[in-house]
Amino acid sequence: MLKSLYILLITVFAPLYSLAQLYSISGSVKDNKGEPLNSVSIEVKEHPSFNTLTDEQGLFIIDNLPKGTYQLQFSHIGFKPITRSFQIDANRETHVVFNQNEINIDAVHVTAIESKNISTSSIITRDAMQHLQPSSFADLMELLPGGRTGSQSLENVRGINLRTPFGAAMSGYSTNSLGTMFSVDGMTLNSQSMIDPTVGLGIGNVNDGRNASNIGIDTRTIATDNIEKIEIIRGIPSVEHGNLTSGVVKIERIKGYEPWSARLKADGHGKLFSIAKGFEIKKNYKLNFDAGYLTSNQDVTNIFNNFKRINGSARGEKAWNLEKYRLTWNHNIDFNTTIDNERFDPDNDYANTDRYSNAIRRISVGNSLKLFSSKPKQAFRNATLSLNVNHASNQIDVTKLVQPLSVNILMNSLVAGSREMSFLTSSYIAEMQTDSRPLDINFKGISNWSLNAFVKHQIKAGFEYGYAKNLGKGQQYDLNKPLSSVISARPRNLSEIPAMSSLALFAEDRFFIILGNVLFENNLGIRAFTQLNLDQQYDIAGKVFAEPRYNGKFHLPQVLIFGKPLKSNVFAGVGIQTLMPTQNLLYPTLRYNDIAELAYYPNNPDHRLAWGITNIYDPTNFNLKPATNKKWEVGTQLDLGGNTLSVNYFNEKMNNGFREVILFNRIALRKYDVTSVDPATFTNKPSIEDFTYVDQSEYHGYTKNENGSLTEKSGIEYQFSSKRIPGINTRFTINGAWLKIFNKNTQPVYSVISPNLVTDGKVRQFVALYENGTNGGEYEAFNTNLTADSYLPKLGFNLSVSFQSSWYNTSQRLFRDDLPIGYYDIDQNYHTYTEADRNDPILRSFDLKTDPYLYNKFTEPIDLLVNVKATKVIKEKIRIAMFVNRLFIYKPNYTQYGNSFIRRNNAADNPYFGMEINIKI
Amino acid sequence: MKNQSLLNWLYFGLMLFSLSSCMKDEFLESRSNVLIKVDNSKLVGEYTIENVTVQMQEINTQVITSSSLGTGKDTVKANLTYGTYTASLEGDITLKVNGNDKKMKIKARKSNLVVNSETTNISLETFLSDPSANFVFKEIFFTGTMTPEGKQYNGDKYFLIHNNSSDTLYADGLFFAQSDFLTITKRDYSPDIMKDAVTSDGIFMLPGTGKQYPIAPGGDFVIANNAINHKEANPNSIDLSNANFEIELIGTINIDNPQVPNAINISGNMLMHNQGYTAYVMGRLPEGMSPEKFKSDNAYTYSYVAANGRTMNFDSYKVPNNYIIDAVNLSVKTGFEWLVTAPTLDMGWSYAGLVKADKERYGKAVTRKPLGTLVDGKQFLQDTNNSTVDFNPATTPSIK
Repeated sequence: MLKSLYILLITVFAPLYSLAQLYSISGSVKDNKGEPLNSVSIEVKEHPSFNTLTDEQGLFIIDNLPKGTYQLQFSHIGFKPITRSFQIDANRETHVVFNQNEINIDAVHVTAIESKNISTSSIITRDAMQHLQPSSFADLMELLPGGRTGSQSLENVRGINLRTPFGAAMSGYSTNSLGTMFSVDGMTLNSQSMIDPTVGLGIGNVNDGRNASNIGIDTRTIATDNIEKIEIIRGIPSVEHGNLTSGVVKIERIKGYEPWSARLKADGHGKLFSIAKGFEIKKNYKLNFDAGYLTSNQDVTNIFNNFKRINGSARGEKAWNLEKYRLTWNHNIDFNTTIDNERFDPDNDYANTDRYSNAIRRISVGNSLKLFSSKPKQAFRNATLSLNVNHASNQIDVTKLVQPLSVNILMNSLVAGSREMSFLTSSYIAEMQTDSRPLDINFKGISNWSLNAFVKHQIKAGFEYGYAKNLGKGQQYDLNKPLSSVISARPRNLSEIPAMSSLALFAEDRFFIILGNVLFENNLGIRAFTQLNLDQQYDIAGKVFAEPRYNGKFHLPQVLIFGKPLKSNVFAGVGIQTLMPTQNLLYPTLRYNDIAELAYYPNNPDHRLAWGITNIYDPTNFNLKPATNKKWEVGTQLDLGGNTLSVNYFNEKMNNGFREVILFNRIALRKYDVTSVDPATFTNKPSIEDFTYVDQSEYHGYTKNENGSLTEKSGIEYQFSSKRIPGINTRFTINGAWLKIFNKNTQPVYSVISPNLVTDGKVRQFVALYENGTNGGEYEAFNTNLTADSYLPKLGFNLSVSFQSSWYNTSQRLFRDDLPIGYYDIDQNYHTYTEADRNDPILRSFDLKTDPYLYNKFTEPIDLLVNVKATKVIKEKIRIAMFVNRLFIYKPNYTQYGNSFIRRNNAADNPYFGMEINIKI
Repeated sequence: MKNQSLLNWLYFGLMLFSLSSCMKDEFLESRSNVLIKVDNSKLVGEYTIENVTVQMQEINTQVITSSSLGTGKDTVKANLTYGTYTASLEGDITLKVNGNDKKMKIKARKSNLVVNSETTNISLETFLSDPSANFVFKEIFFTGTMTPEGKQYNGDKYFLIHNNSSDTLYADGLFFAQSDFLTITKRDYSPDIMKDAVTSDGIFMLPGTGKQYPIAPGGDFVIANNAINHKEANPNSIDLSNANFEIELIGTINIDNPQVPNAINISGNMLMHNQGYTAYVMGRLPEGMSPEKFKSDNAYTYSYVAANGRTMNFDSYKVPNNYIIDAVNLSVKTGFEWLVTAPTLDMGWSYAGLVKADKERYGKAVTRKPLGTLVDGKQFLQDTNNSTVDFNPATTPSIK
């Protein structure tokens, strides 16, 4: 495939190259502190096909320049562009220095910037973050196309759903967020061994929404104060990034000198305090420290429901300038603790005992060595070797006063089979600790090469090795004192789950074809990966998966429109992204079904006898496949004298996302007849043999992980950003998206008859099979955010007003069959479900009788909100900022299908205030 | 009328008999003037009494002397020969219950009355008898209790059923059902069958061959959720180990006392609504109707349109009104919206909680009011098919 493509390219483009004398210009770009600046855009005026970017060392080279005079414009976010002229009659070298003091007001963005990179991505700078005043990464999501200000509550874990319409139901479709990769300073944050230790143990709803095992990174846990820049790749990322389906979040943290700075923020939910300092020692050693503390209450009046985050990090970079190379050693240690706490109000509570806490303490140690070539003309550009160790300790502590509603049988057998059980103590304090300790080690090597073979190539190749193991001890509790009288799991030592490791190799060629005035930029890559030590029973064991990805961009010739230069490009990309199932999906805990067979409870306590059967089922799905998302997109970017517009259309399809399906086991059991024993004739406890019984069976459910979630996403994302109006320095940014998502369960659905329905004195006697039992739907939303911000550097004042309008959003439930195609009786005979069954007093309940009204497409009309944010810098040391979200909302009631829908009646619609102060010393 | 003519014949017979006896031997009998006082002290409320007749039967000769009570009088006079008599009184009573007239019978009975002096004073204490009476709900304890630490406890709910008649009745085969519909949420259920039937998918039936579980006139029996001594688990609870029946509950909580027979589930496992938003009915299936036939004959699918416009469909069963012998609607004091039975079954409702989710409701029941006494001093309970007046709300359960 790759080979034939090259042959094609060579035959097509080779004749375009003449043998005229050609020269090059190369050099470096640094800031006034001598730090190399990467990704500085270098535009060759009137010859845009020669445009390039600096590499990580701030180096650049422009080859194949015919003799002549050229104007080069160097521009970089946050700086005023620099333009220089060069007379090229030999190979030239130049060194450009940006002066930090010259603030370019046009480079200050309070919204996300649509990047000029080859894959569609949004860049969020420090300016934007300072203006937004986030408490966590979760708050930044409103800056993405299609995003809008949501709840500031930090009560529940927050996954990241890129390119998903507002209000879409994503339960059962969490692969979208699980498959978004987070990288902090080049190191992967996602864990493959984060296991949910709470399944089936009856913690209750206090644990709901507080477990991130199947949603990936919990964005609440990421503090923003030490972040310099975030790039969120929504499109097709480089093959350097793998094990993902949706996108990549690349976080770059602050590096280098920074005065002592502190931030104190307070808003309706909580407070945040952070502090940071950066040192520069002897010009070649940079050291940064930061620490932060966040506390947030779901409800101000309820101090017992709380989320806390404590984070700290120390990062160093040591550099050596060798003769031809520059070597850097980056090392960091990060601590991050988040605690979800819930206690019950002692005034209302039972004996002041019940509490829940879910603490995740993570420590990350990273080391990376980078070797850069100092000669722009050398083919070898750089090589990086990095080792990153993430170790988290997830401790859930639950204390609960358990008082069963009546006398209950305690069924806690660890082995399968029928046996004597005991009666549950009528009142006890249950305590459970769960210990999950995911350890993830990533070892990654990348090297970049630059070479000319017909055209200019930037070659990237590398490997990534991942090791994942959970070292946790699992659940610790007294088996006789479970949290609930009905549990479907037992303690499990998580450290007995075998380690998993993966290896990926990737190679990418970024090549630039010059066709007259047009630069055709291509990025073609492939990533191959495999799971190394997995039991051979697993279908994916030993298999190699490949993901080709391509992005291309046509830089069109510059033209003048209204006397202003118009720069434009069109781009397209296509690629496959694949996510391996995590350990949580590959190694589910055993499922226990406990069924009471006898509860003989005479008045004499010594004669009581309980008997039950325990059925154990291993729900491991050895056929689980990686989830694969196929993406393609097209788009264009226009820049008219600094006013930029980008629009793109994308389409994504993943037909094998992970989901839990419910299946049924037929469990044989004995129903002992209590009345077969006359208590009067017994002087001691009867034995089980004294009772007569009938053998019967029941259907009981268990869950299994399957590749059963189909998700199709498409949409149009757009962003317009004006130049600042001179004088008042106001910029208008319009961004938004039209997004559509289609979710579908591709698995057949089984359903047991309602346990309320009695057939000959027996329950759970039938299981129905619905061929089309999907729970999916189609959701669509179209929104526009208009932000006007005025930046007045002389007054140190920045004010923004953001109008966020959701023009409409629709939801339409996917049609599912009301009638099963058939059902199984308790002897596992299959019967077709007939018309007569719809009138059977028992089997009629399989007819779901769903109201067709539900399948209507429901459209919510306009929902507009207005946010105001302001920052004021005092004497360059103190910055005060405040925001009011939803200062004004317009959310009219509406009528649809003859029903009136009343809106604007919840607390989430009220104005929300926050303030902060930043001090630099 | 028939009775009257029978009496006339009796009088006539008696006259002939006494004539013949007079004629046979000239021996002059010893006779006594018997004053029979009708003691209505056990009757309560406002009432009028008519057509009271007292029969005195001599136990050796079987001779019966009948006398009527004059209007406005409280004593019946009779002239009887010496002997040992059994007195029985019967009369009509019209009771004012809740402003309405309720026609019933009064009765009294006394044996071994020795008449051997010139005048004899006898007092007959009357009691009520309702020929149409049957089993009634005497007490429904649906709220459960609260543990000392403040958690709900559920297994101690019960029904207390009373034989309100003057005959021995059998509990065998009685069914009990909890309504699907809630008295706190009025909905437009379609099709509407309320005037003919009660909608329920929580139905159980008492076991028995037909004469296995006799209940004496004025006698009670208890159907417990779990017929065990709940005080072992919860000191605030009650001892139901002496209950007469227990309900089969779901799996792990179906604690079974072998000394107490189990009810048979026809549909569902009845967990009594602990706020009391439902109605309870009891009745009997027609002779020969099996529970399976009941379910197939009475399968019922109803629907209503929810606030969001969605039509909700449910499968249930209809319990025909003519199978039902007693019904009680329950609700909360503020929050009641409608009755979920036909008014012919129950025109009112009672409650334990004052408001929805009232924490004070735990440990409270509803109890039917007494309205006089049946034979042997057993209670006769008020049953006007209006639970608002027939029941005392938020009472302390009688079982401790």
